[in-house]
Amino acid sequence: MRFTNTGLCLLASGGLFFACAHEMNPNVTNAEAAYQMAQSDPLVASKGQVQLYEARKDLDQAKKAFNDDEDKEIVDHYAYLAKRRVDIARATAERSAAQQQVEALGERRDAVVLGARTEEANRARERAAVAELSAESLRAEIADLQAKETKRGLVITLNTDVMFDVDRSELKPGAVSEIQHIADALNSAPERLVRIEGHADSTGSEAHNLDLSKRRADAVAAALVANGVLASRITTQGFGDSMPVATNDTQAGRQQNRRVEIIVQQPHG
Amino acid sequence: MTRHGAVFAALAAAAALACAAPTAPVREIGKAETAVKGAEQENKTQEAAGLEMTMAREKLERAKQALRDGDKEKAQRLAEEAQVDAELAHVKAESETAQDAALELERSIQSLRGEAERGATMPQ
Repeated sequence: MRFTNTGLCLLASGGLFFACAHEMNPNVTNAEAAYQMAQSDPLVASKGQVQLYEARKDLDQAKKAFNDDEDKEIVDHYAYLAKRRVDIARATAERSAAQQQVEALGERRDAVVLGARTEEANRARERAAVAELSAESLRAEIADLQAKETKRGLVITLNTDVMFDVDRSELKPGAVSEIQHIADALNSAPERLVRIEGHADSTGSEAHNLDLSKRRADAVAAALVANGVLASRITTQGFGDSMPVATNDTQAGRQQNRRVEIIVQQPHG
Repeated sequence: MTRHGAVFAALAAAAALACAAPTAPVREIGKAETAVKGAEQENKTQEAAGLEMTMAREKLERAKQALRDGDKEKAQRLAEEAQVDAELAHVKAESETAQDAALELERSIQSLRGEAERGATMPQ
């Protein structure tokens, strides 16, 4: 009897086992698995808290409906709602992560923009300071060269009697220090172009005067280059006696007409 | 008030209540309608959640049909499902918008940095 009892028990519990485990609706199982996974993701669990709570209620409804042997349609319905709510919880977490990223990137961009502006402002200030310094030193240097401000720029007039022997185009040794002085002044405004023009008085032939005035302009240019002025800034021209500044009838006038002019041009733009 | 009067008043109140408050399926259909419209207003909905949106619209129509056919329970279920479909589409679309904005910001930071570097090495 005892043996039979045990057998019956086994039989009964076996039947019970089958009854309980008659397979759960797979949609519910899937929704439950998705819910568990979302719940274990800290970001989803915190950002999708409300949706996960609703999902939990739907899951319970689905299981209840299943256990109450309700229509599959109804079990599926609750499983569907639960699964969707889990998806919404996930999407909510993703959205919030993306929004946080946007915020952080926005701040970073502002910082970059601000940094770039500060840097650009610093560079502009530096450039302005350098330009101001060079303009100022040019003015100071040129003041004692008896330079004149004209429409063409600053004109420094060199007395050729002091710098050249009669009819020669080699600079006298005594001219060197003056040329050096001028070169320094020119180099304090290195962006300005320099024109060197030679002029003669009307004594002698026109062709000879033209040639001499050009050679003297070239000699001054060469001396400036030797003192560090960039050759590419300089152009030279001889005018002979075509542009007198005084009368050629007096000795004093002729002396004024024999000259080399250095024109420091205004910066362009 | 007579006994009859009281009964009459109670009936009238019940009738008024029935008229004023929509039945559950009608209420759910209304909510689904709102959810679908809300999701449609997002720019990225079609791109980020085209399928969810289609499902939401379909279920909303089927819910209305079920209501017309007198199957209130089915109407309610469909309306509830349409709501979660639309809601998912909505959040996905917002997420896509934010992700796009993040990418755009990253690109603009890159190009700003490039400009700053070019500016610093530009000959003066």
